[in-house]
Amino acid sequence: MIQQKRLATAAFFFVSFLFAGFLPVLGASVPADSSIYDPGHLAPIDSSTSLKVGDLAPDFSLPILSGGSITLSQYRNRKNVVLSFVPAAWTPVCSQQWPGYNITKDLFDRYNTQLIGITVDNIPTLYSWTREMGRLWFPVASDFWPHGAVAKKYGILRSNGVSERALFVIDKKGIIRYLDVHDINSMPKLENLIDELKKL
Amino acid sequence: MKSAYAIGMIFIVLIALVPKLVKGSEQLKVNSDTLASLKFDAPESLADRKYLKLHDGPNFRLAEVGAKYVIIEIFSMYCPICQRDAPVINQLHDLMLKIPTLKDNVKMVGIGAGNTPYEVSVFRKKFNVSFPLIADDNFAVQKALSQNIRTPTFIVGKLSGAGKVEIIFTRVGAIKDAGEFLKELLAMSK
Repeated sequence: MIQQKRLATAAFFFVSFLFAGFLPVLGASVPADSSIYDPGHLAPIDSSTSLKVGDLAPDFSLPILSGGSITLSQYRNRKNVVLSFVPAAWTPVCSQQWPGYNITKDLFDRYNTQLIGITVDNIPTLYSWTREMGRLWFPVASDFWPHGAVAKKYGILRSNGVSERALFVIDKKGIIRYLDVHDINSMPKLENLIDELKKL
Repeated sequence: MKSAYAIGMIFIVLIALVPKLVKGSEQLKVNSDTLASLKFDAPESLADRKYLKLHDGPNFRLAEVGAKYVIIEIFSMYCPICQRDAPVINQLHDLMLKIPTLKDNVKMVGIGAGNTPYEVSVFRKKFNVSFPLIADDNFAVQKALSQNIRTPTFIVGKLSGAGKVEIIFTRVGAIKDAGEFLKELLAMSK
């Protein structure tokens, strides 16, 4: 009788394992972007910038990932500049926007333009995150401390402390020629940016 | 005995929950009817249209590709994994072109999820992609998938010639070895 009970228990565990555990695991797949945190759909824009086309772009200095710092005005009279603010590391759209720009260096070069990527993340986070993207050809600046100060200066700091997804095209005189405070949930179209560079 | 059953029940619940706790770990399901019915802009290139054996017209459906099988890569110009994987996918296409039975019976097409024609052309030029890439800037392909698009995703469909696509293979994530992937597909089609 005891042996029958043991057999029944063993059979129960076997069936449990087979139907509840083993089969779903066989069907599992590895996500292509397993490290990416999905914040869900967010309010498209959560700030209001007073900057407009024709304004002088506010100057700033920020530490960059490769060491040292970058100052916007160092490009004055030398190169056009695109500032690409992205909200946060390890999130869906942001994690693809810069890899897209990373394969278009020739387009930025053609229009004598320096791209600068900016987030409010700190340097160690940016280090880990951008390693997933491959080797980026453009500087990545950290607007971490004072937190989001540059994003705030540009009027694009959201109420939760991250920046908007925003593009600023700044000409050699330091004048804003185009700005796109974009829906945070979607990718700005590359051709729109390149068309603006053509106009410079 | 009661305690054994209780432990068994806890075991069932825990194991059943595990796949749900791991984000995105569920198997991709493709609605073949929806996929077959999606309409895309036909490639501008005459060579691409000839390769896919498409009829004249501004649009086409995947079910209209003139082959027995179609390998679909859902990619994005912005996806770093797709960028790294591009040489392997090119190699896969080159391998298939060298095998006479595959050359005419299997066609490859890339769908640039969320990408405009311009963005697709940037990717194609950058990685010298020799098979057709189609823009899908409105994420139409999402309608056929059971979960959010993750790139790259590979779908192999068997084409009946009657407007139907039978899904015989799906994979989410990069292909590390073109030769091994081809062997896998060949073994599966037997």
